[in-house]
Amino acid sequence: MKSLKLRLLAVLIGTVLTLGLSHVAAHASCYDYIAGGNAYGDYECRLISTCNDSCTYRCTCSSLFPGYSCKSVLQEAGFEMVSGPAC
Amino acid sequence: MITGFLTIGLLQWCVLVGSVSPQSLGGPSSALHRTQRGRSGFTVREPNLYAPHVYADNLEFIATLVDLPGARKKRSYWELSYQLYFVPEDKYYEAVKRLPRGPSNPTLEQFPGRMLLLEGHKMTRHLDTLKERTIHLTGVRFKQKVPDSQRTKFAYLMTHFSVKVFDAELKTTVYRSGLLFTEPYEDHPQDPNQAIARKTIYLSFRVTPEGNLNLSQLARDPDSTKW
Repeated sequence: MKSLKLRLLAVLIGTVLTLGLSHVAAHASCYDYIAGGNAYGDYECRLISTCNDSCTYRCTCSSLFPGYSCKSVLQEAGFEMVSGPAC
Repeated sequence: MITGFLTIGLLQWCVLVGSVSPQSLGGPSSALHRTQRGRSGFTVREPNLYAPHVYADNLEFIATLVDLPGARKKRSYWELSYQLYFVPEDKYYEAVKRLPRGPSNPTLEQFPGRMLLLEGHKMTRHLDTLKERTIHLTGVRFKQKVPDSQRTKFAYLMTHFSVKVFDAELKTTVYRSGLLFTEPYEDHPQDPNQAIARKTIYLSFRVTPEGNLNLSQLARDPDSTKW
């Protein structure tokens, strides 16, 4: 019986810790700066606004491969093009 | 029993490392990352492009706590520390070359060569009105502080901030610190092909009903609490 109580306590602590860490992770999702590069060129992006878990960046591209645009670089990198901030 | 606790501890560690270090995956976790569409969303850098006309003589600095659920509660408070720097283009790109590829939260110390333009600190419990939740500074000297040879288009204005809000309605404290960058220029409202001097630096925050802290450096209507 004592062992069962201890196990339940361990599960409870684990659940609370998991929720706590998920909360921390959700709020750590908007980084101030992102840099990278791919076959089309290099990019660096600076945070301009956040809305809950959505992060909006303004980006600058360099070393573009001939025939490709900054948009190609960012789309290849997985950025979603939006007309304005998320909110 | 000890094995059980060790297992839980190990799982927590995996969740933490996996969640907050997307750079360990070798690239940005892009699903949530957005960039503005159109000309104002991204640009191609022209290195060392001399552009003294995009440097305003003076800057305005407007920091606002746009909204919070507990605005009318006497125990709510807002505390903000801020510094505004100019980072010459060559120093900026030297610094970012040293940053890791992927997402990061750079620190002030990673930008040597920065020039302080403005700094301040405010803590207030009077949050009833938008005016009370706004810090509005004018006449921040800019152009004359920047040596002529450093007046290039792709230099940066860098805002360092630490913000803390206690919302007495939600009974929660939210805080964040960080670095925000913006160019010395902005697009002409009628002609996006023309760069004009940026005259105002915005730093806006909002506490949501869920207790999240949103931030923005985009221009906003000073009389609106809309985010």
